[in-house]
Amino acid sequence: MTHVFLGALMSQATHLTRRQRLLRLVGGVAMLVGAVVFFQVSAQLDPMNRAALVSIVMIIVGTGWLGQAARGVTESGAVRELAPLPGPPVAVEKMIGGFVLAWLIPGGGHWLIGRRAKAVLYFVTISVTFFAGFLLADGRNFNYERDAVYYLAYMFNGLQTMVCYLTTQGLERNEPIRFLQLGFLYSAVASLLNVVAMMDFLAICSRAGRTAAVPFSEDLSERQPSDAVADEAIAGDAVKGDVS
Amino acid sequence: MSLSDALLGTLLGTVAPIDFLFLFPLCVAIAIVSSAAHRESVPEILRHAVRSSVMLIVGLLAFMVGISYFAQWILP
Repeated sequence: MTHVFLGALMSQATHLTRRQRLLRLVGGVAMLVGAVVFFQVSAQLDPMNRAALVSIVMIIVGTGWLGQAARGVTESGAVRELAPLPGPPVAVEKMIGGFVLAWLIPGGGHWLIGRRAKAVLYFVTISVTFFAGFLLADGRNFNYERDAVYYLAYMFNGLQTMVCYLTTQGLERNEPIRFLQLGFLYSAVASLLNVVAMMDFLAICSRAGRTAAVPFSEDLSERQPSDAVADEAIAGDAVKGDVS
Repeated sequence: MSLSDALLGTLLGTVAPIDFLFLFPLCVAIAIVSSAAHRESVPEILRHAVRSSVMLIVGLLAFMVGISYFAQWILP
């Protein structure tokens, strides 16, 4: 059940044909033009322009189609399980311990299961962003009584938030700080990025040590012998691609 | 000054664009971490992160231009 849930989260991209890309390109441009026209007509008919939300939705859909046309892939296609990773399976105790460690220290879980390169990448990226926010706000963005709402995000980066909270509680905000809002934004986004790292850790744990790359949505009774060969090839590619 | 004030102020020419430029490094960080998920090879992660960063920053600029167009109706 766990790997079914994780597999649903890890949907692979589906490649578009030339015709599908062209359709998305034309549709995207038409949607953007339609949004502008709709907005102007709506503004003329209603001074408050209450139907502007429709234009915004059209812009979101249109830019999405243009992005798919430019990249030639869509993320909303068939959901497939990713290839298994090399290495022994991760024990449940190690998985739980790694998850807690990943919450405390960005990349900690990856480090624990031996994926050191990714651990360093996560740690450096998230920590630099987090402490850049700290510096931008001059250390005044970690007061729980004053800015409790930001702790909804900060709580996902356990140790660093704890250290900042304990060391900056006495700081007052008497004079305006120019980049205070950016500081909040940096630290909050960095903490939320740690959620991505934690989920990636869980995904790795679920994929490590598995032997077959069975397409996620495929009925096993309909599998052909050639499918097994293709699965092995995918698994081989995964082994070659692993450098961490 | 809030971030939204900085954004609209930048668009209207009353605030230095430096405030808004600070969002670009954040885009790079988001691109790196989101690229690292589901990928195992670090060179592959970094290659994808460069592409994602460019797309995010271009998207942000497009958003700025879009907001500046709609701001004439939104703002008094």
